[in-house]
Amino acid sequence: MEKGSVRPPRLARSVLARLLPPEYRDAVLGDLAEEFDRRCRERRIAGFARAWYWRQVLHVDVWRLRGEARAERAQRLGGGGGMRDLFSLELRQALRVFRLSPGFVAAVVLTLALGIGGATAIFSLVNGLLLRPIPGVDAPARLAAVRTSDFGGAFGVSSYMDFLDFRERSRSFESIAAFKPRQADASANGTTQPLGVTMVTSSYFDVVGVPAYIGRYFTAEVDQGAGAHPEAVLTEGLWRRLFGGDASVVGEEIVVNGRAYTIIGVAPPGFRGTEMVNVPDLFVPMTMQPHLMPASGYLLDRRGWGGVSIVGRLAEGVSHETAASEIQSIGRQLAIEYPRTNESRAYTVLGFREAALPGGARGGVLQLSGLLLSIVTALWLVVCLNVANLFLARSMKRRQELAVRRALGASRARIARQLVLEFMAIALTAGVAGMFFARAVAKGVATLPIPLQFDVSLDMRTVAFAGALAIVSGLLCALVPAFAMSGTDPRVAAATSLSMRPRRHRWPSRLLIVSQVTLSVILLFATGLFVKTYSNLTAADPGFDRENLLTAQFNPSLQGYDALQMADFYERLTEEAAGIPGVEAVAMADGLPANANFGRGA
Amino acid sequence: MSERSYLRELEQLALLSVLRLGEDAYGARIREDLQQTARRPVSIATIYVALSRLEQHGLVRSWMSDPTPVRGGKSKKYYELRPDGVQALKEAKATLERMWQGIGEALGVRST
Repeated sequence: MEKGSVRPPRLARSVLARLLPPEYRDAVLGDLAEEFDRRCRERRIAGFARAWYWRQVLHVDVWRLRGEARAERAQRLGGGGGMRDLFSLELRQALRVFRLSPGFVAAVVLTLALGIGGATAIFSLVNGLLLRPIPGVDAPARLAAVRTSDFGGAFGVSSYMDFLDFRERSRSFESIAAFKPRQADASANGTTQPLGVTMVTSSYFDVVGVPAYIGRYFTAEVDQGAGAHPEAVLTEGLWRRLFGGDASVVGEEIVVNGRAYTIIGVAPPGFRGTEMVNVPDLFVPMTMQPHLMPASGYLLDRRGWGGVSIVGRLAEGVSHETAASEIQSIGRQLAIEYPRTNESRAYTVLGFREAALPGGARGGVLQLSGLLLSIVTALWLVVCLNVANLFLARSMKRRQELAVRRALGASRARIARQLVLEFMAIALTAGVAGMFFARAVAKGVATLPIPLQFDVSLDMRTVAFAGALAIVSGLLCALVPAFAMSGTDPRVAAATSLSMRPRRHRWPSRLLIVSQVTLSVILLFATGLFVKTYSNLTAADPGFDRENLLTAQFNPSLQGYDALQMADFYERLTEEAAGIPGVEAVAMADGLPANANFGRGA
Repeated sequence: MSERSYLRELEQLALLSVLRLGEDAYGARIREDLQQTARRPVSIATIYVALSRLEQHGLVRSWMSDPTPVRGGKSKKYYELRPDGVQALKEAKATLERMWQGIGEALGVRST
């Protein structure tokens, strides 16, 4: 056998080299090479040595060696190395707090969970109101609303005639639709109730991209002929409410404002229009406008009437800016063609999310959200300071334990890290508990009769918010005690009893208490102001006696009453109401004090 | 040793081998010594795992040599006993001797 030229099998060596931890790579490969060489010399047949080498490679328990190497690293760093091992060791130590002080942990988790949960609940409301897309709409990022400026000052509703021109001339939209929400009385199966009805053009459901749950949607024919297409598409909620979820509802009739509409389909669950306000229960063709607005007559051929909202689905690759500039260019053409009505009109294109709330309402919601978030943030800070103080008090009790660890060589950084990890474990648990709390609160809010459509269920954004809040809570609660305690002098700590807390260890506690009291006082004042304002508002003298006063609203025009019939109706109503035993006086009003809504009050 | 204060058999043999080999105590030689002297064939990983545990418990210390041409340019991992290792060996020996006292002759072996 040729000496010096035989080498261990390259593949086996390279496999082993890749698997071995760096600490043992040279030693093991060198040992094997040395023995391989010896065997080659002794046996003189390289094949035996190669087979032996392969056997060794297959038998080297690299995983145990890797484990040992990790343990060595952790030990070598004695307080820092093999970061992963050290971290897992410290995490295990941190989790011991759950076992050793269950009462303390439960109190802290509960307190923090209330702080985190409260803030998360408010955030999920703000998220639902301002950030999340309207539920049940396909690819909402591609939806856009066209707004016109000369109706009511700010950008708002548009002219139906302008809409027809936009539909005809615009290339930025894949499809574009107009809609107008109204209130109406509807009856089916012997039940009559006031409902939200949205009049829509036939393209409306193409724009929102939701397939019919049952039946079909409107065809293009419904866009022609005033009042000629009494057809209706129900929302899934109304379908269940009025028809008990009967699948054979298509072809049935629903009476809207005294006229029978044929039900042609049901929209899918979750879809209730494209706005957060004026949430519809059923959809009817736009051309039914004269029937739903009997006092106004046919308005769809009047360019001067600005009453519809326009929503469109942007063509693939078209931005909102491009669509806006195209709409504005069409608007300039319209101003030339119809100077009498269109000369002073300006148009804008808004993102769907932005358009889901009317301009004024959006501002109000933003203000309210900011206020609520500030309050819950302050509350959360008070909670954190409170918990930090608890941690500090508990850390003081642990001074001797920490002192022993310092005496055994644990660095100040390691002790601080350990304390922070401990707090973080508790804070994250509180974060999870807070999320459940927030979910329960948000669910409760969702069941309130708020005339708004928004989604408050937990989403990734809310979970991330709660997680971030938990982490920041952990850090906030941990930093002061960790900083204060990590510097514990072993000799001093060992020599002093708990009651003899050194003077210089008292400042963190004092700092926390001062901050907590300050914030609490601010919150108390804010809450006091709120309560006082509310009580002033409710106690304010409206200038009339509210005792035993009842109000009712009527809108006979929805049933097709003309002016004469309405006058007769109100006259008879007044007489008959005055005849009811116990009624002292009856009056009519166009609007109620402190309530500028429509209708007549009696 | 933090968790246990006694030596396992392989650890004891490894310590003895390190002591016997003196300045030549590195993986391959310790393994060879265990095979030839103690008649204990052990895999290379087993040796290093045992030595690593001993090192973590402060009974031996190790260091890497300069690369050696005969080993394909690889370094050797040398070991030497720390005072605690010597002490642990002494205690192990004393324990064994106590246990053997009075029964060596009955089994036909000479007690140490």
